[in-house]
Amino acid sequence: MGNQVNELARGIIAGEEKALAKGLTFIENRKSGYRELLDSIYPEVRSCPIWGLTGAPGVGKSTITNYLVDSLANRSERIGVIAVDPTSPFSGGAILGDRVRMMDLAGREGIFIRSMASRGALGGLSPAIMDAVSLYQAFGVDRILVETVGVGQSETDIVSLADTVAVIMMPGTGDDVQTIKAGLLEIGDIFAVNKADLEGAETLAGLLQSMLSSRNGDEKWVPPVIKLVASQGQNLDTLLEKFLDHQKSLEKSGQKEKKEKMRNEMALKMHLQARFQDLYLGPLLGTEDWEKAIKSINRREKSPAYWAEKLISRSD
Amino acid sequence: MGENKIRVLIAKPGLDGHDRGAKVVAQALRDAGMEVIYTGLRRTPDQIVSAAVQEDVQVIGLSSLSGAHNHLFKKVAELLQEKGHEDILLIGGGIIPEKDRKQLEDVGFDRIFSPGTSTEDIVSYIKEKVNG
Amino acid sequence: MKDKDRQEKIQENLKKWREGPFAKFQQRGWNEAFTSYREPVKEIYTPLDYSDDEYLEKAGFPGQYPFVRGVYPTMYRGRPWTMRQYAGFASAEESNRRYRYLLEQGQTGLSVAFDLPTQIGLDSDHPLADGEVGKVGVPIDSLADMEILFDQIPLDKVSTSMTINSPAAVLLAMYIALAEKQGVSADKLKGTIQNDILKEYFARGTYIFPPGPSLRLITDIFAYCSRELPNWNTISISGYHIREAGANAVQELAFTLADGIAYVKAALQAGLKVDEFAPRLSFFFNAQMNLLEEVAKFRAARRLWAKIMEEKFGAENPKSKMLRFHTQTAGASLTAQQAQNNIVRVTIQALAAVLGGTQSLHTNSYDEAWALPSEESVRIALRTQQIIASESGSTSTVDPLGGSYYVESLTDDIEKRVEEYLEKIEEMGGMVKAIEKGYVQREIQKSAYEMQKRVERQEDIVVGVNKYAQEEPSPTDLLEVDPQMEKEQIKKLKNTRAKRDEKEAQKALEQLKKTAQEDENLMPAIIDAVKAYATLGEICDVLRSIYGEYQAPTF
Repeated sequence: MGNQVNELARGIIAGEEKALAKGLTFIENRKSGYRELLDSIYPEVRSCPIWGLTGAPGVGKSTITNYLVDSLANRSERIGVIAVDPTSPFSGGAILGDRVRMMDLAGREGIFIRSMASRGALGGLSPAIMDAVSLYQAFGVDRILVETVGVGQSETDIVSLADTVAVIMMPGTGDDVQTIKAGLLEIGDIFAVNKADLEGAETLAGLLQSMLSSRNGDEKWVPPVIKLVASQGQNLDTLLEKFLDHQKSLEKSGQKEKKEKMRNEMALKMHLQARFQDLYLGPLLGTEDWEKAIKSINRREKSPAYWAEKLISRSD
Repeated sequence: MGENKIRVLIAKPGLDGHDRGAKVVAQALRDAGMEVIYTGLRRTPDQIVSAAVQEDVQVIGLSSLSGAHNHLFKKVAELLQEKGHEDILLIGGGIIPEKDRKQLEDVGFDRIFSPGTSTEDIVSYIKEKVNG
Repeated sequence: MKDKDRQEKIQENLKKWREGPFAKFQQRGWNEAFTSYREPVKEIYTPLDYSDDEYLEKAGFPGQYPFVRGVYPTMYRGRPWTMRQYAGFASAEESNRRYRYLLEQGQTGLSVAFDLPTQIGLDSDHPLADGEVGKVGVPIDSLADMEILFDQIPLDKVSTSMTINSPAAVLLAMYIALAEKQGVSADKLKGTIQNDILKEYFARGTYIFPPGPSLRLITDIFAYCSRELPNWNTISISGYHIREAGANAVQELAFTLADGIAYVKAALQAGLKVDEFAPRLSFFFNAQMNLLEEVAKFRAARRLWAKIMEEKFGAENPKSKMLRFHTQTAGASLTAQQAQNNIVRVTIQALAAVLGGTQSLHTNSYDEAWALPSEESVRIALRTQQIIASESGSTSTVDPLGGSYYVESLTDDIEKRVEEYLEKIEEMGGMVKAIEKGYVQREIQKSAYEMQKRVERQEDIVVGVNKYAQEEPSPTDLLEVDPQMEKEQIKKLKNTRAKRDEKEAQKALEQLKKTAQEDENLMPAIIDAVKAYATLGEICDVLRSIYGEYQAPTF
């Protein structure tokens, strides 16, 4: 096993596509040795801008990603893409369909695309996605694009992962006051109203503008609202420019380092949580004590809070 | 620690637009707990193979009903061998005569499923082959 | 009052029967039964389910509104349906031989199947065409191929149906140009182009351009043909592929009619008058295994369309309200196992189409789950139609199942459910929006998956597949397409390009580009381009450069 890990690490650092592909599976499956793999590539991680795109299913994220990747690759950048789709809570399986829109990129030099399922992450980003970013950065890419479905927590998770987040919306899908209130407004650095040829696009864009203007005023960056018709390529160049502008603004204001620090904190937290789970929760599950606690909670003798304390202190 | 999810790439090589079978199979594999990368219509063998490599799938499933299987399926098999990915389980389905099936199995296909195959058979075949 | 008494009496007696003899027998054995759209079927249908109170409004007589009993007064007593077998093979030469053979065998109309590169507007030497040339039909790169395809077939004597959608305008242009060369004037041309782009986006997959420009091409054809080709069916609005993709009978009808509504709206928006183009609209449906439900589906389709055209679009010409349709037996119902059983399946399906009042019919060949049909199997398929027409007696009277309590009640039920779908689609902003949202695709996908699962649980029986299966040798004698054909075709294409007057061809393409950027009708410019031997791929590339290409939604 040690050999396998070494071989993968070497390959990834050397920029071998197959090694990166296998390495991503390795960390995604949390195979034993994945920590060693991360460890051995870590000194070679070279930070690069990370852009996030989030939005409800069907708003056109993949079409937009496809354009961004294509344009950046044309500037001879090496691009890594992570496209996240939700895992079915019933079967644990997933259909990862983002590639449908990106197949023209398949096989092009300098473009690496990986579809990932959210797996156990309850709608949020799985820790493996954080690690995938590290692998890409050791492999050597100039930029990483992460595409997530904006359901539940992944929207807010993406802020800790990406330097720049674009929130993609479209008219007529309930992207109205309700959903905007739900926290989307705080996470976006750029807002894009796609399918702007549909009815309601103006209203949605106007609504966003007015809500954003009341967003806390001490920031240097004012999030732009861009109207797109991605399927016809309309205004996608403006979106790309805004991404680049935001990146420059981060560099100038020193926010970039802050973001990086936040990302690292998040990664450390996620790994710690995983370790706590391995060390404490895992061994407890199904034990006599566990069953006893559940019974007691069922009978309403003691609360789950009580038992959590009790079990933790016992496992010391 | 960790689990080995089965990852499958389902692709339609060539120009054939009949995707009912491919989509039904994709959904059945999803419901069996697998992660299915679906590529959509009109894919070239090159695109299919490079997607499969980057996605590190254990299985590639191809579907064709247009009669172009001899040519396109074979190309996928050849490309996989060329790039050293014979370990990927290669299966196919569609309107494929018996004679062609044997030929495809000779050039690297593990199995060509005939019309009327139940999705459960496909699921258990994949599970058995991948998990051993 | 008298009627009410009668109804009550029937009700009373039905109750007695149900609780008495029926209940007793039911204990000995009883199977659940459902329609294709998963509604339970009753044990018996009576005047309580269908009464002829509104006969004149709801049914009337053949050839009269709402046409539920048939579009023509005499139906098959006057003339049987057109027996039209879809065929096209490998090369224009071979297809031409096959057409002449079929005409000699008594077939009354030609039906051209094009290969996939042609259907997607790619020349045979395009990289994506690799391995696909001549596989599912004939490759047509230019007018030169069309000249071979119809060699010695007088275009004023046959009616030709062409299964072509996205590049329909180009193939029609070639047909018109060819007729001119034969000395046949355009108004003598009879036939159909499928020209139904919307179902390509969600059920068949041979799309090129996005919906907007695609609809413009379609309405340009409507306008051109209403002036120049009055006997040409300008579109065949197709439910066939929708059903094949996994839809049930109600969905097949609902999505087809919704497509139809979208075309009518587009044409009205383009400034055409409804009675100018509506008489030339035609439909194309699937005939599945459930015989009586299928008959009801065809009957409901006629009444629905008549009502839509009259009430929604204010059509006045009776022909605008007539739903004329072609039928093909269900390809997806053919089994690879015990393939000869398919002859029986096709017979039942063909009978459904005839009892449902079809205007033309294609019967599938029994070996099509294995490969393209052989000459022998195509002959059996054609004979099946001839036996139904000549021997079965089902053509003796018009709409023989009209008045059946069951069939009439199903007709009403399907009609109601289709109307519900149509309302929903209307609320979404019409069919184009419903497709772009992926709604139609999801509905069909759900239905297809459930159908597959029912077969696997043996709730639906497919003889020879999940019941009465047996070991068997696989069929031999399958038709094979010589891979050499592709090279030959590319050679011919290169030859055409080399021989033509290049300046003329480029000039025509340049003119086409200009026209496409403006509002003018595209047909004349396309006809000029094909006459200059510009290729299909070149013409479509010009249009692609202006209109872009359609991107399918993800899964």
